[in-house]
Amino acid sequence: MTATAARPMFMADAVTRRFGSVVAVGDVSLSVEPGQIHGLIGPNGSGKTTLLNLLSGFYAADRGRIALGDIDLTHVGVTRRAELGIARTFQTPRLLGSLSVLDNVMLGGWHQVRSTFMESALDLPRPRREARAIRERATALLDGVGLGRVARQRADTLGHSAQRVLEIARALCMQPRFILLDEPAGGLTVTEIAHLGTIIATMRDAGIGVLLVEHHTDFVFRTCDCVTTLDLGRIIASGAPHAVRTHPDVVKVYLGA
Amino acid sequence: MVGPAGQRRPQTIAAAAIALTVLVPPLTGNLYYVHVATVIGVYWILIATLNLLVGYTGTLSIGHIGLLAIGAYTFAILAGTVGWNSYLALLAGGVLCASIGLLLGLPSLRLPGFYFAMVTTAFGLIVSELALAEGWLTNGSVGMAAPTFPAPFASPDGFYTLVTLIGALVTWLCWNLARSMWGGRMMAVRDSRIAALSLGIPPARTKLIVFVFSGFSAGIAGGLFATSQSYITPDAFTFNLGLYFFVSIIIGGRGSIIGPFIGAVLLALIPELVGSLQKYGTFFYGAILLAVVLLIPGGFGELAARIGSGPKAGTSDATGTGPDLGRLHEAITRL
Repeated sequence: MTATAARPMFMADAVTRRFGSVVAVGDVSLSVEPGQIHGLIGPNGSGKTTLLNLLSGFYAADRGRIALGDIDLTHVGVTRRAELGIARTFQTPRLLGSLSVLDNVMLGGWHQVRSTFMESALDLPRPRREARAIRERATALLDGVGLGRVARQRADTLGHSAQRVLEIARALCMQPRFILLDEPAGGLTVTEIAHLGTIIATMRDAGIGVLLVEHHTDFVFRTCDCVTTLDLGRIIASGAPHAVRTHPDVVKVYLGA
Repeated sequence: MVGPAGQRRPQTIAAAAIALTVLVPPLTGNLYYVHVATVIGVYWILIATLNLLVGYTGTLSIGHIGLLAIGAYTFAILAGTVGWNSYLALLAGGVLCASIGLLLGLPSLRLPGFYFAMVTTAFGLIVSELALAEGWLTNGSVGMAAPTFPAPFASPDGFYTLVTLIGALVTWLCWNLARSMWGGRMMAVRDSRIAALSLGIPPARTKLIVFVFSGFSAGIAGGLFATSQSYITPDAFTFNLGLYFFVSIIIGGRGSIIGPFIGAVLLALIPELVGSLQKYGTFFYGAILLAVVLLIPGGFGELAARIGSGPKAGTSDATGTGPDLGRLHEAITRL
């Protein structure tokens, strides 16, 4: 994506979300810049995924504000946020198993399709042209992430790590400005994690802002430009990786008091 | 998009086979065969688009029997009582049913699937009661005569040709949709609402568009149904007929266009084939449904695809191939 003169930030400002009496996310502020990898770590139940759901719009914030540059997203729905350039993946990949790998990636191009239902039914030139452009992009992305050889296979024939990478390719097909990755390294081998790291770095170099929610703290400190640590729904440390890594509260949370 | 991976070849063969069998009934010279084939064609016009709704978007509509009835009565009233041109009356039935689909779907398609099934069930019940009660409009239980179409579609063979042409058109539209990016969009809504949302695909609007489309074709099917029966009464629109539409799709296999056609033909022929056992008609529906669900859960469509495509190409994992970062960067940054 060419982020022109204005390079808007994606940010949460003092966002709070409660489930009953439990504060899942309390007063959290965080911003992701274009061309930056922002890591989000924390123990189980610290509110990482809840925050990701607040950012992508699956949950509504009880308090606080979410914005993309000047656009207030606080009350904007999931599909509209996707159209505005916010993509995400899931902890358990949500793919369409009966579709081919290529068709799965092409689904990422849907929000750019302008041709109508009837134009598709009548097989007119515009839907064909749009599908061709999206197919080309999807193919290039699949080659890029290393799944080009299996593009015609059904998605459910892929192994776990390939499914994770496929979901990232699908999110990239949306041509997003920001991408939120929910534990992309979960269940991957050391080699696969290294590959993932290079893919994420390439996304950053291409100007995309990445929010990386992850359990593998080593991977996060190695990959990210900036790291935020959550515990019990609140931020305990945020800043450069080396500073956060040695922060006493972070050390305490990860090693036990 | 090619829909489920590698189904194109067997579907082309199936389409060619169907195109040939469609020619058979008129060639026999037997009016009864032509009538049975006409009725199957009429049902197919409804089932083809209902299949998009049920099979592709995963939305259970049990009320299409109500739409068929409204299409039939609209045609009989406008073309018969009021004296409109038959084609105009047919189209009016389609437009009316599409509008009803919009009104019915707009508030209810946002709810989980179960509620939509209840709404459409209630709709179907209301329509059949109204057809009985509003005698000033529908002649109540006495029923109404349905007009025919002008030549060259007036004779039984002619009408069969008209139904076949409309059926082919509807099949072509559905096929295009399934192969276009809409195929994936509909299946995304069916298989993973969450994924669809995250990709910017609105599930409720997707279902609504398909429901309105299927409402239109159900209305058209209703008008043709009226003519094929010559005379319609509220009894013609039984719950069993609605069940038949459904079972055709299930035994045909969701996510396939040709499968439900095979299902529709098979189910419609059963009462003809069993002859003296006709009182057990519903029993055979049940038996086939049970057999298909237990033996080939994917239905005939999947069976045909499996036979046609042979062994599945390489189910191996793709690990070992590293990413091509140059290509990736280029793919992301290019507009």
